[in-house]
Amino acid sequence: MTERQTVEPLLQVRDLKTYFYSPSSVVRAVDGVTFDLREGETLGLVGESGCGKSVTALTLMRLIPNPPGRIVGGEVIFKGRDLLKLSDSEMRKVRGRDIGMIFQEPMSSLNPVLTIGRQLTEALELHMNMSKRQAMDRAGELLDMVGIPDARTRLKDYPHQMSGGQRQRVMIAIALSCNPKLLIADEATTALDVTIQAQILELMQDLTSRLGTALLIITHNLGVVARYADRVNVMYAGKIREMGSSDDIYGSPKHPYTVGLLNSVPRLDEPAKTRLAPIRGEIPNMADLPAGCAFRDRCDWAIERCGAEDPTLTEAGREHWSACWESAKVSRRPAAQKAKV
Amino acid sequence: MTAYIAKRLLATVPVLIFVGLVAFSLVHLAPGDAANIMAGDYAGPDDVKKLRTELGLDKPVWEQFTEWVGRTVRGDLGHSIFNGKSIAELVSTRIAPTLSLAMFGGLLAVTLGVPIGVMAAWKVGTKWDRLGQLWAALGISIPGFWLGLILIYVFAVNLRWFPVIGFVSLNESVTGYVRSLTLPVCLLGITGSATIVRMTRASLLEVFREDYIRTARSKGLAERSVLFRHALRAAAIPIVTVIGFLAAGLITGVVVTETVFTIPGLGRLVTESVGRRDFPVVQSLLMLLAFIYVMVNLLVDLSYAFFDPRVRL
Ligand SMILES: Nc1ncnc2c1ncn2[C@@H]1O[C@H](COP(=O)(O)OP(=O)(O)OP(=O)(O)O)[C@@H](O)[C@H]1O
Ligand SMILES: [Mg+2]
Repeated sequence: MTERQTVEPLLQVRDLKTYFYSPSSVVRAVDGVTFDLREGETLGLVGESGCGKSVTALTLMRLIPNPPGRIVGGEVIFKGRDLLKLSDSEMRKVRGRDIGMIFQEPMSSLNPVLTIGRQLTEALELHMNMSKRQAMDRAGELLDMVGIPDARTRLKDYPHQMSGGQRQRVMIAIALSCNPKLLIADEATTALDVTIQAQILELMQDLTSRLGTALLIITHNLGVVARYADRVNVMYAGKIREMGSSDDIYGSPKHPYTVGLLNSVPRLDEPAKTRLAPIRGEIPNMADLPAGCAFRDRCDWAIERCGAEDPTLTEAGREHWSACWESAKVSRRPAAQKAKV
Repeated sequence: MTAYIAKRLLATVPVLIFVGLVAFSLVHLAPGDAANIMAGDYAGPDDVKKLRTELGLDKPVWEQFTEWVGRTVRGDLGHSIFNGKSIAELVSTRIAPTLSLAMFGGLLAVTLGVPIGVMAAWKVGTKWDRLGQLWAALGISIPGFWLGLILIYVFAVNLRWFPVIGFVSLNESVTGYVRSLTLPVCLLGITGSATIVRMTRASLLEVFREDYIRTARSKGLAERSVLFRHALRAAAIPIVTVIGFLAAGLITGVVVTETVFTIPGLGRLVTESVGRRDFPVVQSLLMLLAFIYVMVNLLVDLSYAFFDPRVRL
C-alpha cells in the first residue's frame, strides 16, 4: 500500500466537467469529477443509468460529440501529460495505443461492412508500424488470445457472422491490440447473457492482469464491481459520491446512495429471503438538478443542510471518501430497520 | 452469391409481365381507334374494317395480348403503323443519342452529387454544408426545361460555344458529338446531382452517429480514414439506391431534355408516336423503357451485395 502511494498514479482526473448544451437547457453530465487510477489496478465506476458514467469515459478519450457536448474544465493527467491540452493529432496517438476502449453495444460497435480482420489490423498498422502482412498475423494471434476458435479463418468473417459474446471478444482484442496502459470497459457485458457476461469479465481480468493493463470497469451492476474491482467510485448525478476499496464500499458504505444501491441488488452472502429495496423516488432530471445535494429527495438520512449545501468528498476512513453531511451515521440496511420501527 | 443473383433475376420476370400488361392496356384503353387513324380521312368503313382485320384488332383483347407477347419475346417488335418501318430499326436509329445522354448525364450527376454530398456531411453546419444544401435545393426546385432554356440562351445563343439544337453522331464528327451533347448532359447532370447530394449527406450523417464510428475514432484513426474507410462504405447503400432511382428518372429526364434541345432520341420518338397514335411503337417503347428500368434496379440490387456483406446470402 505505502509503496503504491509513492508512485505517481497512471491517471489523475481533476475536477472534470463535461456539459451538454441545448437551446433551452444545460445538462451537467459530468460536474467536477476527481479520481486517480493506479498502474495495473482495476477500478469500478458505478451508478444508475444517466448519472454520467459513459460521458466520463468518453471525456477521458476526448470523444464527446461537439456540439452538443463540451468539456468545460478540469484535467486528465495521463502518464504525466494533460490529455485535454494535447493537439488533436497527439490525442489520436493516445487513443487506441495508450488507452483502449470497449463499448456497451456489441451488436453495433463493429462496422458491419468491414471484415473482423480489417477492423483489427487498422490500429496495428497505425500505431505499431506493422505491414499489412504482419498486422494480419498479429490479428490472428489476438483473436486466438481472446478465445475465438479457428481464429485465422474467422479474420475474413464479418461481424454479423458472430454472436454477441464473440463480437465483444473481438472488441477486447481490438482494444488490447496495441498494448495500452489503460482499458476502459463501458458496460461491456450489460447486453450479454449472464453466463457470457461472466466469461467476458474473466477474460478481461485475466488479460489485463497478464499484460499489466489498468482496467476501468463501468457498470451499474454492483455484483460485477464487487467481484473484479480493487477500488470503486460511486457516481450520482454527474458527481462521484463515494470512493473507496471494494471491501469498504461493500462492508461499510458511507454514502446513503451506495447503501441504496447495495440494498437494491441480491447478495450471495445473505439469506435469499432478504427483501430487495429499490431506491425510492426517481432518477433526477439532469437538466434541472435541485440546489444542495442531488440525492436528498431520495435519501433516508437527509437533514436540512442537504437542501442548501452540496457536500464534497471528505475522508470517511482510510482511503475512503464520502460526499455526505451525515456520512458518520450512515450504515447498511436502513430501509429494513425503518420497516421494523 | 450466384444464388442471390439468380433469385434477383427471377424476381424481374413477374415485374416485366406486369409492365407488359400495363403497357398493352394503356395503349388499348386509350381513346381513338388505330385503324381509323391509319386508314386516313378518305377511307370508307370497309377499308377500316379490312385494316382492322389485318392488324388483328378485331380479335379478343387477350388474344391480341398473347400474340404481342409471343412476338416480342421472339424479338419481333412489329412495325410502325405510321410509316411502316420496323420498330427495331426505328429504335436502333434513335437509341444512340439517348444512351449517350443518359450515360454521360448520369455519370456527371454522380461525380457532382457524391463529392458535394460528402463535403456537406463532413463539414456539417459550416458554410460548405450550406453551399451543398443550396445546390441540392436549387437542383430539385428549378424545372428542367427552364434551366435548359437558360443554358441554351447563355451558352448557345449569346456565347455561341455550343449549337442551339440538334445532335451530331459520333461517326460524323467527334467534336460535333461532344459539342452537341455538352449542354443537355450538363442539364441532366445538374438536376440529377441534387437528389444524390441530399441522400449522400443524409445517409453519411446517419452513419456518423453509429456506434462503430465511435469505435473507429477510439482506435485513434484520423478523420480521413473514419470517413473513407468506415463511413462512406456503410453509407453506400442508400446512395446507390438513389442513383438507381435517378437512372430510372433519367428516362423521363431524357424526354424533357431531348425535347428542349431537339435531339432525335428515344424520348422524342415516344412523344411523337403517342401523338400519332402509333400504338405498336408506343407499346414497344414502353416495354423497352420498363426493361431498362428493371435492369437498372437489378444492378442496384446486385450492388447492395457488393457493399453490404449481410446481403450476400
Ligand atoms: N450526446 C448527448 N447529447 C445530449 N445529452 C447527452 C449526450 N450524451 C449524454 N448526455 C446526457 O448526459 C447524461 C449522462 O449520460 P451517460 O451516457 O454518461 O449516462 P450513463 O451513466 O452512462 O448511463 P447508462 O447506464 O444508461 O449508460 C445523461 O443525462 C444524458 O442525457
Ligand atoms: Mg453509459
